[in-house]
Amino acid sequence: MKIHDFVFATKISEACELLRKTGESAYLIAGGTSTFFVKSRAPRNVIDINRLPLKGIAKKDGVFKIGACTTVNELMKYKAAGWVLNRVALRFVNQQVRNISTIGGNVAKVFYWCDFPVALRVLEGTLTLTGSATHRVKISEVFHNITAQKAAFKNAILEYIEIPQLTKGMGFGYAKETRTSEGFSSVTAAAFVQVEHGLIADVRIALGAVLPFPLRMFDLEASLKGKKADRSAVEGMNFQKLDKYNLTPREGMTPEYCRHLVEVKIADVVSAALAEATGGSL
Amino acid sequence: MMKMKKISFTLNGVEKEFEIDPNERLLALLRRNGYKGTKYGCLEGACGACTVIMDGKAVASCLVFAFQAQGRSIVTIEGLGDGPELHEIQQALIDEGAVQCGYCTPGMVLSAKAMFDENPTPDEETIKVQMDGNLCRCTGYEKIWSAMKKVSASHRNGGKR
Ligand SMILES: Cc1cc2nc3c(=O)[nH]c(=O)nc-3n(C[C@H](O)[C@H](O)[C@H](O)COP(=O)(O)OP(=O)(O)OC[C@H]3O[C@@H](n4cnc5c(N)ncnc54)[C@H](O)[C@@H]3O)c2cc1C
Repeated sequence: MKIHDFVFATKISEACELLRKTGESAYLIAGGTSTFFVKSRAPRNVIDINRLPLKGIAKKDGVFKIGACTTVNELMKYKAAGWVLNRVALRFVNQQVRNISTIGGNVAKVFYWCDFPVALRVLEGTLTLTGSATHRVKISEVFHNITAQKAAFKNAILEYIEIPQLTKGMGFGYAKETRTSEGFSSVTAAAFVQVEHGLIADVRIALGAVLPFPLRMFDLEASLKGKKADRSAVEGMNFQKLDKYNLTPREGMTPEYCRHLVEVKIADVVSAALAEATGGSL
Repeated sequence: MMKMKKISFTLNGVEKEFEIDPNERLLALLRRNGYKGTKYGCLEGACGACTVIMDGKAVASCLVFAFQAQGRSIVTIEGLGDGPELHEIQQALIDEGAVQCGYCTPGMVLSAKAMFDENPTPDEETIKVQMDGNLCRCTGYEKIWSAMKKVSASHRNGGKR
């Protein structure tokens, strides 16, 4: 990416105004790590939003409110009951990059390997975006597909993300497969389950990296709902439901191995979520 | 014509002003100003040779634009140690034989410093996570971790921090 000039925004309203006035050449930077992957040589005018008061995590009434400029390192170090994004953060490249990269930057520009959109798709919650006005939108609506995501972020600044605190009977599973510890994901999977009276009352599964944009596996979810919350649910998963997806093998994988790995990772994350929800091990 | 701009930040405790090209990375700025202990490595945030401490956190200076340092505090390897006396992390690495070719060492020391400044007594797991961005192709890591565990143990026993 080629930078023509840069400015530091100190207020959200100022950043929005700069974004509007600068037009097509504007490029917001929180941590700036995405600039490595921006191929266009057209000169950009950078608006640095890293000094905006959008940092930190607060818990209130069973909801975690995460400032968009909170770093991945802060997500990893934060400790609270029902907080699960530390598990995602721990698998994020390395400490030097975790210290710069922000969660806002990760969800605003979704590369196929991006970690947090996959986890957020199963945790649900809301995003608060400010453009000409401030909107609170459901994660499911923004991440419905790439077009919806791009439209939501056009000329808007993400202020914060709100996700529910996991409570008794809920579980979360996350897996990221990389060829080396520093590598980009070749398969990312996440699952959320809620168990009531020994049955799977709610389940959400998301898959990333092998798809251009993270997707919810609604058919697989439907096949699990109402099942007994034990190993038999995982063993009985109908992976034919994956046939309709055009999975992209990464890192030199064969299509057969890619498909196999996807099935294994989905089974792993559902097992982990069920184990957490039932307080045992599957 | 590239637009040159002035920025200032605290470098190893001293307020400094620099003229920069907006595209310049912090690594290049430091090196052209003589801070050569910050090494060129992979130039894509994966090896840790260019690690510096920015506002208390270890960052890859090859990923950070120079302008992002505006108003911040930056510590490079030149800012450690006091005259001929080595910093305790440097000394521990030597004592454990954890330095071979030495190219990764400045970055390794700075990652460790940021870690110990935040948590003087990290356990082995914390050490491995906090230092996972520093690659060393010579030592096989065992001696490096052992040096870090030694520093942690010395803090636990009331040693100098
Ligand atoms: C070496 C390396 C390794 C990486 N490894 C991983 C990895 O393991 N997993 C992973 O998921 N990603 C990875 N990435 C990609 C990148 O680091 C992440 O996506 C990171 O979270 C981006 O955050 P940032 O603050 O640096 O984003 P920036 O580069 O600052 O911004 C990214 C995009 O989001 C926009 N943006 C930023 N903040 C906001 C906001 N608040 N509101 C609206 N728009 C905003 C910007 O305009 C830009 O288009 C890696 C990158 C590098 C260089």
